[in-house]
Amino acid sequence: MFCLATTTITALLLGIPPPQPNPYFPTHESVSKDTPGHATTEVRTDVGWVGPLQTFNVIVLITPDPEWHVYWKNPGASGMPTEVEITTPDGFVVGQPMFPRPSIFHGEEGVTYGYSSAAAIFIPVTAPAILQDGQLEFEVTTTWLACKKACVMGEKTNTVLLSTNKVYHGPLHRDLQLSRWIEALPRQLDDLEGGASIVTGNTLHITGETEMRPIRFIGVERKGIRFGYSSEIIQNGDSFRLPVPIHVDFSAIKGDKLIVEGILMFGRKSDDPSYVVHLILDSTSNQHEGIGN
Amino acid sequence: MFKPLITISLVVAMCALPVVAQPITPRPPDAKPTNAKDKKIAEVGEEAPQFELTDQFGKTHKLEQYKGKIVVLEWFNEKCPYCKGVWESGLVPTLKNELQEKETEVVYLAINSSANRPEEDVLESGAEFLEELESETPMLMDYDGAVGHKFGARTTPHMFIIDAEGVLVYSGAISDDHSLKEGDKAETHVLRVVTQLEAGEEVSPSYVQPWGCSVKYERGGGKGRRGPAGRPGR
Repeated sequence: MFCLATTTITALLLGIPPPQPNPYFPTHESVSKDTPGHATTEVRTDVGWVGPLQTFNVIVLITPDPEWHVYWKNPGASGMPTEVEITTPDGFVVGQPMFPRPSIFHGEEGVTYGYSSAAAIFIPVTAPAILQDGQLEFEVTTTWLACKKACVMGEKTNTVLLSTNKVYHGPLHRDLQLSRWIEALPRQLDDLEGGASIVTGNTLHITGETEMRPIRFIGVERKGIRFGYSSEIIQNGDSFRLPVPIHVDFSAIKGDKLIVEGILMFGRKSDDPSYVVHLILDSTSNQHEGIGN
Repeated sequence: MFKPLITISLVVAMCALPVVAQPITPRPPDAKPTNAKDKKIAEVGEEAPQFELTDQFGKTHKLEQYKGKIVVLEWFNEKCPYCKGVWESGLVPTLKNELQEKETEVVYLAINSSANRPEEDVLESGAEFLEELESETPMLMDYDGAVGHKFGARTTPHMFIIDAEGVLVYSGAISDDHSLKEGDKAETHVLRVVTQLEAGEEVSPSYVQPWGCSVKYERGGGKGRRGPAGRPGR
């Protein structure tokens, strides 16, 4: 606080804009040591209002207490995924949450994936074709497991009000905070030069071009899909091919489609690029191949 | 005139540094990476590792004594909110009741490999938790974690199911109800697997990623004193 006060006063005297707190990492003043569940949640949307058939995002910012962490949708060797459930008015359709790039934690218990600082989860919601002018309420319940040396389960329900317009789509908010959160989301693999993925036999092959290292893939395990450890990256200049062993078991699921999903990460920093890998495997296909992205 | 200006500049520079510096990548907890190269972990489809452990009543349990029966192992730690939750929500008690109604005899054993507290505390605390729930489920003490490591138990709870021939047929989550909202109504993978075994069907899926706290295995040097397993008077 002393630093901030001194710097601000000095900056004002010299006519320089004072430094702003980094919204990406919470200050100690905003995090309570006795926070129930050892994490806080805040919720907002990314539009001024919503119009018919418009897709917008409900954004949950989860902030673990200092020295605590919560988990990605695949927590890894232990933990529990952070989950978000949205109760919407009639007609709204909720999509799959998009998680920011996780950090990798190496512990004696194994490798886990999650967040030790604020993480913004985006959940797409699509409005129905018919809306009236007014205001609607969305209930957002977030559940998590926060761990340090021990673990604590947490749950919080936030309410967000959103204006509706029966004709016009609402404008996207354009603020620095939102921009930074969007930057932290993995991009589509299409956006990567040469980015592609394919499953042949028992291997998921991910290709692309980058000069960044290391290159890592973390799969999201679901029923019917298990990922092995990919120890070998085939590189040729900036081009790479990352083969990931997978075990596919269609008998473990109802239906004939399996989703192969994960995140491809370059570098080690939280703001280094990452990409979504997403394929659908069809059991009716002779070769069990899927081509995605 | 320059001295105060230099001082102010230095203060500004020192205070501004965290703001202009690159965001700090969250640093993982200090620990050695896990190395399972030297540890043979049980695989589904193979014979389950044999063990001999003592429960909170002082009774010894050997896996081989349960041949001919289906054995359900739950890695347990009442200090883990998720593990505690599956018991207190009624999920495990209801599951055990449902398993008792099966034609094939099913044995349900909890195994406690926690070693982040003195062994006596692990024993007493776990035993009291089960007593308060009026459960006589044996809680087998695995303080050195040898059995946990053989099975590859990662979380509490982490379920392992062994068929009547002694083959490991399932490893993984107890259910898909991560938030415990369904309580005792939650469908469990355990009941599903036992039903498949009784029907002579293939156990599928035989693995579902387990959720929960990490098993608190003994680290270098261990924690607290080792003591006799089993409680006096029972």
